[in-house]
Amino acid sequence: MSEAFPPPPEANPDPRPKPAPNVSSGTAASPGTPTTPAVSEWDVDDLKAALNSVRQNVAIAIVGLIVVLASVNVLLFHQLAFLNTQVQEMLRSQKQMAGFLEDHRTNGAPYYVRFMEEMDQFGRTHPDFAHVLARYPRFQLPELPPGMTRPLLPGIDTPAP
Amino acid sequence: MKKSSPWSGVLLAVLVLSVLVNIALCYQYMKLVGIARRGAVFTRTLQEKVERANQDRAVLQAIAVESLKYARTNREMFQVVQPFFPTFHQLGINLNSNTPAAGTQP
Repeated sequence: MSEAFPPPPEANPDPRPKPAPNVSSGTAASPGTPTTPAVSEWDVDDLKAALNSVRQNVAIAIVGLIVVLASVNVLLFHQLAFLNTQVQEMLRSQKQMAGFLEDHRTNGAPYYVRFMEEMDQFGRTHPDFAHVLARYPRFQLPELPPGMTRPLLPGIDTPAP
Repeated sequence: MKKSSPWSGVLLAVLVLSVLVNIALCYQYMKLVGIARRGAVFTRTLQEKVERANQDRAVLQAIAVESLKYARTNREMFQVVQPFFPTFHQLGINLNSNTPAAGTQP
């Protein structure tokens, strides 16, 4: 019975992995070293074709990315220009409104308050006019800070220049 | 072995440049959005103040017109209002009607 079967393969006493076969020099095999199967020309051509394909794909991907990024950049540039115009417009409007408010605070409001004081004083001695005054709301002017004296109004408190 | 094409280097350089431009544009955009957002709040506050000032002005104009009407029959009132005439003229207060003066809204 034992002669009918081939002998079992010998177990490899050295568990270290074998060195990788030299692909570029598949025919150089020195006596004494284990022979490795040579890489055929067909395999090399296949690898070259695969490498070229990968190169082409990477180039296409990069070109696509550049196109997408350029489109996003153009869009962002237009948005920036639009937003910049709006911000400039808003700043101009703010400047205009601040100028108006400053003029109101320094030139308008003191006269408003003074005129209302005169009218209130007149209304105390003339009740019929006090009824007229009562129809209108009071001014919403801010109070003067403590310690600040009211400026003299030219033309009313002092003679007009 | 075939060397890599010089175009690949150019493509990579263009890609890196595009990314840098993109980052710069995004930074500018976010900066402007922040300015616009803060400015919108400030503009709203200013608009409310301007609205209040215009209301005060309308009230002043209405009271001035009423006082002038009253002054037709009361000389004492005329003497009280008279010093304010140059001021009304200077402030653009229209004493001929009850409508607010045009152009008060900046």
